[in-house]
Amino acid sequence: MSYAYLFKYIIIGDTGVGKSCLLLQFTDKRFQPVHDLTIGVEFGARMITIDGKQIKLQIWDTAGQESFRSITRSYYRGAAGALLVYDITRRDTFNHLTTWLEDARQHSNSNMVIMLIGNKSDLEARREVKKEEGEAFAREHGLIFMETSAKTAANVEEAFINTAKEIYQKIQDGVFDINNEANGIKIGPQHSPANQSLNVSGSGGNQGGNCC
Amino acid sequence: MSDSDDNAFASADEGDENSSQKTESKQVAEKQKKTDVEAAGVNKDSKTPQNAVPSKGKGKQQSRNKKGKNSSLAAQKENAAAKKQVARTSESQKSLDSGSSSHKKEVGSGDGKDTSNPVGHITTEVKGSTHEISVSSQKDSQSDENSSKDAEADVLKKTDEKNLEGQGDTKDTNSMKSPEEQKIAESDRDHHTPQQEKVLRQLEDSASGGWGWSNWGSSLLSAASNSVQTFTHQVGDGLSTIMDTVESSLGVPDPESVGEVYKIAQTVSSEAPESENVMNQTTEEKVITSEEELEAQVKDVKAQSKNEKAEDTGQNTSTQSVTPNEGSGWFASWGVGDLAKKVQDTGKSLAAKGQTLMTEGFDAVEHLAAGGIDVLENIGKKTYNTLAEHDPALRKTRQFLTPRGNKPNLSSTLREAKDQAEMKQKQDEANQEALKAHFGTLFDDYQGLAHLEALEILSNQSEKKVHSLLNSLANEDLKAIKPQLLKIKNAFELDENAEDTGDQDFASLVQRHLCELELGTVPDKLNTVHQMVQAWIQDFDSHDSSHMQSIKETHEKSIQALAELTAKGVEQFHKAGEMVLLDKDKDKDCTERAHSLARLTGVLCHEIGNLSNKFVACLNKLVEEEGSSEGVTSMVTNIYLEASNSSTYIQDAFLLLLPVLQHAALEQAILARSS
Repeated sequence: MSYAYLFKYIIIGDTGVGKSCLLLQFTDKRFQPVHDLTIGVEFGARMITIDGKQIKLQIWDTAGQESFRSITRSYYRGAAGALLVYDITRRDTFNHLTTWLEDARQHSNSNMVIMLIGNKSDLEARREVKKEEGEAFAREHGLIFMETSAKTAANVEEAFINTAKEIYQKIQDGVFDINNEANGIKIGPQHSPANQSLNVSGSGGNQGGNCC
Repeated sequence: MSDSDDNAFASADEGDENSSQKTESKQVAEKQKKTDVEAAGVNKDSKTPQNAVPSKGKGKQQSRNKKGKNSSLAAQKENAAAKKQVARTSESQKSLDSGSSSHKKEVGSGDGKDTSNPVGHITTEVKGSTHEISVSSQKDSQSDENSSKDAEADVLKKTDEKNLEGQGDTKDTNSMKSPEEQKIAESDRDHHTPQQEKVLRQLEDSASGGWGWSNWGSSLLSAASNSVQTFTHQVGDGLSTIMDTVESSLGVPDPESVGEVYKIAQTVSSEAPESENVMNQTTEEKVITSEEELEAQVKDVKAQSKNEKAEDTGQNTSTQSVTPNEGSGWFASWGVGDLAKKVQDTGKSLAAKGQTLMTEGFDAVEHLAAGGIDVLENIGKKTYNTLAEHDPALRKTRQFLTPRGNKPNLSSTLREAKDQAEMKQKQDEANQEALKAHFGTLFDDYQGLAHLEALEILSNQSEKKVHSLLNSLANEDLKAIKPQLLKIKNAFELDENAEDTGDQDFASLVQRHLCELELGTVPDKLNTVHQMVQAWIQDFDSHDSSHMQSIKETHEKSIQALAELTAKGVEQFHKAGEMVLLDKDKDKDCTERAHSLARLTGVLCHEIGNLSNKFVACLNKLVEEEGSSEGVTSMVTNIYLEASNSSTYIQDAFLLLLPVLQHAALEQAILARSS
């Protein structure tokens, strides 16, 4: 339960590219073919281990609809990592990447690690965006790139974990100031559980007294 | 080192016997002297080429390998004629003159006896190995005085052999031999210098007189002491002087190091003759100030020998110079570098003085043998004194040897670490247990915290927006809009008194209030959780004690239900906030929405209170049936505490919506005005 670090992620991208499904696959290891439209932002969290350290990923799954953009932008701030998702079967979602990227860069801290994800890689037959295009875009903008499938879970874990590794490395390199929560990184509540347990046991002691 | 120590002691024990043998050895020495003189001229010249080879491999290896060396040498000697090495030497010998041949004869005479010696004389060659050696060897096996003659012969033979080897050896032969052998050969060669050799021979002879050579190790000691003694004698100082010198140069000698020193001395002395040439150049630096007297003499000697050698062996000087340097390096590592140098100097001076020293040397040798035990005793005393001087009552030494009580000791450290680890583990387990029923953690797990955070972000943003909008508005606009903003604010004044503790139709109430908001949000999650909780409570009530969960489980369940419901409530508010911001419908009155939200908050808080009462009732029921009230009071307290926390979260979430609604109202107003 206790963790060394908490990383805040945001998932952004056009509506219907599978952002919520990626999250669900990552947090619950399941796939929901029909997913409600996300309103504003939804959340998911999962523990991962990097370099022997427990890291909690707090993932903000934003609504992709254009109407929510004004709100979801607010949530970019304070994210350590971003998953920028497009749908390989829909060229337009790829074409919108630049806008999303500008948005993300503008509203988040400059050190934010961005992972470009071409989702729905299981739908190879309907592919409209070549993997090379995604790679090129990522290279051009200094992003990490992966093609994933929320349906088959291919690369889903890797996408989240590799992003975390990159963030972790940046922490090690001193790029991130972990004491500044605006960077989307929190140091784990190492001592708070102890305090809580002390409180509990303390009340237990009181109760014992009352019983007598 | 231990070898030399042992030998020293042995010699001390049998010091008495030495005197008888000395006389014999004297005679022998004289004999050899002559032969040496004869050979001297030849040897000097022949030395040159060989010297370059053997100088390496000295130092520790040499001392370590002595035994092996010795045995091989012994074998050599036993079959002087037959052995390969002998053959080698004989080959080399061919080139030699008549002087060398005479040596050979002597060797031959000694052959028969040599075989009888188990260990081998090996070391004999070692410069003037002395009485001490012979003493120890005597101990070993051939204690007969008769054997002394044999020993004599052996010694002679050996020295001869060596001389021959040294003379005749080419580089090739040397390289074939083991390093030790090379050294020996080297040392033999060294002896070739006429005066040196004579002296050494004499010493050897005297040593060998009546003594067997079985104990090679003793030769080391004897050689060292011999050279030292001779030097001392020459200088006119007694043995004790030397000892003092040695000790002073050593600093803090201990028995071991003294033994080592002796060994070193031996090696050095063996090298000394050959290094004479070198020493002229190098020694001056090395000489110790404390031994200035000696030094002065040595220098004189050096000067003498310098002149001689410089003429004879210009080449050798350069090659040999390596040897003493190496040796001194090794010695220095033992802290006895000074001594080594001294001994070297001694050797040099001894050699230089040549024949004149011979007789004196004999006496000195005798002296040494007789006083061997005294020397050791002296060394021991000095050692102790030196130690005690810097360390009164040897306190520090004892401290060092016996661990201090106040130092952290390993076992207690380990025990401490183990205790800590156990405590930590217990605490971790307790923490895990506590977390199961920890409202804050559960609230976070249900993403209540995230929603609250997101709502906070929205709220802060809206607040800033409200301020900026208000600042941008003209005064009249401001006046027009202000009442509405105030109304909204009033709507957020929660009516604490409105709560009654009766049951309510939660689902329908929530549904109704949300509909009033007209934001399109549905309380699905909220209702789902609520239904689940209700179902659990009903299930609890309908079962008898046998099916009931434990008090602890009930408590956990209660807290979980509260946390989840609260989280969903906060989420509902968060969603409402988002929708309010997105909803640009100017027809919808924000004040109305504020009131609806306030009512919704009331319903939620009421429900939380209601549920907490039910949970407590469940707990009490369990207590009644099980009859154990252990821990229940704290749990009841905890449930009420978390219920109030829960209400606080919900109300906080609600209050965060105030700026959002104001923001929305302002935008509506601005929109209406502009349109």
